[in-house]
Amino acid sequence: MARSPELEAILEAWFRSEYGAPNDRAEARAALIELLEKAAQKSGNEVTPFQIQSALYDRYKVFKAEKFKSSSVQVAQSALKPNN
Amino acid sequence: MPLPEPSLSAPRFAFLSESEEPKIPANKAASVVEWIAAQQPGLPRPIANAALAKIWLLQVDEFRKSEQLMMASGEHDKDLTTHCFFLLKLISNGKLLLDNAKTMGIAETTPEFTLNDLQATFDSLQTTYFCEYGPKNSDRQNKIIEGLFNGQKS
Repeated sequence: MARSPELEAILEAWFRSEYGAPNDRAEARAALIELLEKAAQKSGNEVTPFQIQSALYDRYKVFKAEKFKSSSVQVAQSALKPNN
Repeated sequence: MPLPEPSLSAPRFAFLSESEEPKIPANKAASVVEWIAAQQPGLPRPIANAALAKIWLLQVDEFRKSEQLMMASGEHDKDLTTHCFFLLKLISNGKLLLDNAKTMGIAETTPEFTLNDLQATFDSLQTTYFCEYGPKNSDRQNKIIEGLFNGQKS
């Protein structure tokens, strides 16, 4: 199922904060927190940024698994290319 | 007979490419640094902290790779005890490392990472812990959150 652009942005920033280069982690985490705060404001602050992150955790795990599978496919494809 | 000019593209070892170099597990590397620090009581603490921070970051990376692999293979939720054990270990080591770095200093590690990057890595581990093992939202909260990403306000 297609994800909303807001959700996609949160999942991407979350992933970057865990798997990005170490020198990008502070910036990635700040971007993630900003996106979560915006979402919390959209709810009229009825939920906190962390409650949003907690609710999205299962979807984030699926997102991580998809990333792993797509990177494995890329690695396999590059290994099959001639002169590699 | 003159020796041939070394080729810039030649691998350093004939039997290993860069990507096949033997890897040292991060926990073994940490024990080496700890041993050096114990042998050299005069080793400046900021240097020891920087070395331990580099190794801790490697350990976190290994943990994240394993976690992702387990999620991709559908095995993650079947072995949460092991996941929780290693996650808590990284969190407790990271807390000690950050406290030491803040109180005793850390040698220059840029551009590899800053103290803020270490803090962010630590915070992301804590987030994982609370998301996986912490208290869950109420149904009402989840309904509001679901609405946020379906074009509804609540």
